[in-house]
Amino acid sequence: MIYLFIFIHTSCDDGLNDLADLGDVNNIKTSGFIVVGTTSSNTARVKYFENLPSGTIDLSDGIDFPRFFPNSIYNHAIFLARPDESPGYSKYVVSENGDLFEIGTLPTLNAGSFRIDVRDAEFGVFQDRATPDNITIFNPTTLQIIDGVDMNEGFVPGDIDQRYQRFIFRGDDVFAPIRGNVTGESFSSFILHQANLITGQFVGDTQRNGNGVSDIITFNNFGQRLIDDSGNLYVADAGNYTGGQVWGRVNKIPAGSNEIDPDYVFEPARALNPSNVFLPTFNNFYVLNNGKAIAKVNSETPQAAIDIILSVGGNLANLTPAQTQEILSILFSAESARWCFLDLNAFTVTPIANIPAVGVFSGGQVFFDGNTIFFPVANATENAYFSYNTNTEVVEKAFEITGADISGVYNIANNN
Amino acid sequence: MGKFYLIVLLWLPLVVFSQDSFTISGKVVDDNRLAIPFANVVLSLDNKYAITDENGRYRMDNIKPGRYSISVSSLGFKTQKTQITITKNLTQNFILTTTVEDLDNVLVTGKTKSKLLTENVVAITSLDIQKSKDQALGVEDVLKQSTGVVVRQSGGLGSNLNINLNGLTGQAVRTYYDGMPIELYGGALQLNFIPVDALERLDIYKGIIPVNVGTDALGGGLNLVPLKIGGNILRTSYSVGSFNTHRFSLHGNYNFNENLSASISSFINYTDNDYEMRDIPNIVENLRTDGTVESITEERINATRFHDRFRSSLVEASLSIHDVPWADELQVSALFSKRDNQIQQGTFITGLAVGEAETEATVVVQKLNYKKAFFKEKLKFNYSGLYARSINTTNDSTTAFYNWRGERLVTENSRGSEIFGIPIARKGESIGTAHRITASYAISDNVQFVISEFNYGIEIDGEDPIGTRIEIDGEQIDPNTIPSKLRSNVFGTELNTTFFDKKLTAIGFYKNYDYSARSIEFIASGITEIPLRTVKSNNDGFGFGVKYQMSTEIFLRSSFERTLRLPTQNEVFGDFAAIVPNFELRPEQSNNINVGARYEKNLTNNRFISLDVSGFLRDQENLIRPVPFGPENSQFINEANVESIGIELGSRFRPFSNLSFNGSFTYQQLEIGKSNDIRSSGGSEGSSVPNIPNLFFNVTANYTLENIFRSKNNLELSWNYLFVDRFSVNEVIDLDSANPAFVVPRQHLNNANISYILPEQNLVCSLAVQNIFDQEIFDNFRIPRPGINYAFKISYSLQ
Repeated sequence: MIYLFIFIHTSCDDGLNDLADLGDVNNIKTSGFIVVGTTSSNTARVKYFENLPSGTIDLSDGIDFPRFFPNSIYNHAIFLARPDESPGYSKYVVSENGDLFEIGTLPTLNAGSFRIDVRDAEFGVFQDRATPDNITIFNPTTLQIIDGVDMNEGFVPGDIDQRYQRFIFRGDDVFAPIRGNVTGESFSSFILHQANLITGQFVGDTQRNGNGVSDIITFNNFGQRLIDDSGNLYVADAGNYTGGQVWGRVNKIPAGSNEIDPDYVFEPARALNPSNVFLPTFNNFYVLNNGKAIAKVNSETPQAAIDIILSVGGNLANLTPAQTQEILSILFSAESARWCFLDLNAFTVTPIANIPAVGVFSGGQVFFDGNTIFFPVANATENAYFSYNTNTEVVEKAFEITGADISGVYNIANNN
Repeated sequence: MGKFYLIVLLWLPLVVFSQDSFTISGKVVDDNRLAIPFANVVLSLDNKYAITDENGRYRMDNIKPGRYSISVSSLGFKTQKTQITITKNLTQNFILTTTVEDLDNVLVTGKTKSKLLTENVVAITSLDIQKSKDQALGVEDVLKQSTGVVVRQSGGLGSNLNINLNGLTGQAVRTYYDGMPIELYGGALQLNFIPVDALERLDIYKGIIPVNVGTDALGGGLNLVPLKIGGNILRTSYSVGSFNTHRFSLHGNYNFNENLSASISSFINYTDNDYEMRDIPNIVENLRTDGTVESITEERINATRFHDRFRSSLVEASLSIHDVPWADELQVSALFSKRDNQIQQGTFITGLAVGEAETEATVVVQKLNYKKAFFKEKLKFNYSGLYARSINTTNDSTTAFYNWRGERLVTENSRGSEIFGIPIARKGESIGTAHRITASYAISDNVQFVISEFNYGIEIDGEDPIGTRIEIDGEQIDPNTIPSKLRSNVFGTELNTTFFDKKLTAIGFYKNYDYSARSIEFIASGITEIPLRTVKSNNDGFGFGVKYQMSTEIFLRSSFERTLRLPTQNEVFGDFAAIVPNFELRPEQSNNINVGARYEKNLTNNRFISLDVSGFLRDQENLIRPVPFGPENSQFINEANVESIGIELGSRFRPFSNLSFNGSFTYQQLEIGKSNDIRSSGGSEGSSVPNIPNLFFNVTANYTLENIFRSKNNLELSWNYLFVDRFSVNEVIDLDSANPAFVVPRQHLNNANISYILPEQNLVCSLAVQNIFDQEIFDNFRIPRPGINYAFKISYSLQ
């Protein structure tokens, strides 16, 4: 029987998949939503929706990639680290058939190169981590390299290799927070390097200091949306989240200045809960109109972590390294953060009612559609987006996602 | 010990005590007075039989008085018959003489150890490697032909190897060498570079692993049984093949007298592994006129691997004392091995090659084996001890980039490493010790009790002049210099009983796993003393199985077990780089059910047919997987559960005495269940476990042409076809909607072997052709495998 089966089976076709019919790639979709989910193997499932999702959407038949982390969207094209994990960056569009289609790549030497940002149709910036003292300016429309910028003059503590966490545009300038390149180590101050897109030259650097000992981290979030109505640029750092007790801070570079304003001190986690010293960080910071911003702010210390602290008399200095590690493990998985509105002038933080608490490292990217902001909520009971209408101030669950855990939703009609 | 007494008490009600009768026992040896293991001893009239143990000893109880005919047969020996009269307990020894002519008859009626294991109450596939020893194959090639097994390599000879057994993979599948975990040999031995003629058997345990072999394993394991040869004999082989591959082996044994012998086993491997890979990405620098880099682009090329050389050598010498009053066997061995690998790529093929990274290992192992039977063979005692010292170096510290044309790029590699996240020049010393004590007692003819204690420990330290540092009280410390220790103790007890005239066999076992490990907590900061951390765990496992022999041709069997796999040191303590520790990591656990049936029938004129049908069901919990920990690091956690179901078919068919077919077929579904990670909402439920095929099968045809060119010289032809169905390297729910770019297509692999056997000259010449149709074959994560390739092997033995 087995031999008969083998004979029959080998007579069949070879089963190779045909590539999807991509249609006319010149007629790309100019609106719609890319929904990205993460599997338990940390691969990605991606699916295009023509209309704003509602109810429950299923990603189980989405297209799979080893990874899919968009950094920028401009003119309906998605710029991201290559989803097949090859070194470099890709430009994706949605074809008229609703299929994701890679229309170009920017290869790099270092497979860990991860950040590409686009200002507009003419200028974008990426870094090849193989050349840590350089950034590359490219044309996002043609993917032609415009120039390389030697950033060697920028201040780097210890003069070690740095990498750039993200690229933040203000006019013709680009600001880039640095981080150690080789092992991912951070610096005890938050440092931005600045370059000019037109001249292709390094401009300068600016920094905010911490306690001189603990590392200050910065997160990678999608897009831009960091300049207020007056042209002030706000750049967030995450503080220290390994017990170093440095609060994450909103840093302000006033309009017309290239320096972080040392007198502007806004620490959202401290404003929300001054006793939250172990994980005093916030994430997903975006500037809105009228001096407002949004962020996911860690607010509470779980009781299990408090119990450990109490067991050493409440004195953090008495914690052993093992106890510190245990607390961090608790904090990393705790649903102790809230989506909040931040007032950048009054330095207040207001949790948004009716949006469930999440982990500060939980998945999902905020997205915008008209007057509505959509907040990802990924916790033990929810895998959904909640919407907040800025006109009506109504919060409601917008849609649920099944078939993968939330990674992000991206509105391709919006630029960044 | 309390547990021990409890277990004994639990088993006692099952024990069926023997009745008064006589016993016949003895020893079967060859012309050289060497023990013949696994010989069949059959007593006429009473329908009783026994199999000699590894010392050639047999024993039959409950023999009624009378006159009997007793016959002894074994593969390669003339069958011997004699008449005996039983009026009291009797000792009857046999001396068998070797034969070539009698081989076929013995093949039909005798049972090799492999066959006996295959018919065991638990699901074991035992591959008799000796049947393939003269072919120019690797052990991994033989293993691929078995049901339920997928073998994948990241390159050619000596490359990293991943075994998938009934859906389990990675650390969940344990590999043993002569019953000892192969990792204790410190890299001296790996399944994919041990020559096929250095092994006696390859036992594949798909369910219960017997207490005298297993340690912690989630539901399967492989035991490589080294070659055991007797008499004064010297065997050697040499093969040369594609990609400048050379393999040499030498095995010998010399009997000083009937109580003392010495043996040697050795091999050397060399290969450049410079095979071509088709249509892979390659990075090219576009230079300005001044030699600086303007931009880089990517092309697709056919590239020849250029930094994948592999060299290994091993020599093991043993001295054995047999059949002295104080020992049935005492063997002392020393093993020396040296190996070095160049590394050609990371996990995936990207536009850059690895051009300088390499690893080396030097290993010295000392072993002691002791066997003694007491109380007329009722009580058997075995001890195996091992001491291994290995020096492992890993060097990945270059400032160069290489592309797939083997060209060094102009751009400098600022990271300073090609594979690892940081430059590494680590030299580590590992000292491992292991002790296994096994005692079995035949309570009656129907009941055997086995108890086993396995204890092993590893201590690792080293130095890395350029690696990670931790700061202790202001001083930079190399964490490699702080010894890590791991100690594990596995206690097992097993009861075998037979009922209804041995038609029904039942087995039950209990295991206790005790584990402790200590290592440095490398991510600690702001500390004033060395942050050592210890983890301990104690867990239980159990299982049982039954086999019913319906007739001489058909049996049914089924087993259940609850097993666990302890976390590895890296999983608990991290890797001094990107993996952070998780001291709360729990063992993986699995409930396994195996069912099976076997039919076999000897037909007239030396024809034969057999069919094995089996299925498995697994419910794995707390699978250990890496997840992101913060934006930069990862951590192993107990996350997904996986439910697996599979069916396997195996068949042998010999329609004519000189033509035979072997086939195996596996279909399995491995589905991810609910996640334990609080950060997950269970979105992956229902997905297939990635990077594992669901369907694969193979068939082998063998044909023997006799008396070719000269009388008694035979020509053996063999053709193997292997099919692996498409599968995705990503986690997908439906392959039909999966991204075709990450689906490994269906693969058809055809291999052939031709051997010319000259028995009077003790010479065998073989030619193997792999991937005859030069198909595109992929391995782990779509790494291309070689196209058509050849190997010629010549084997010679001197007696």
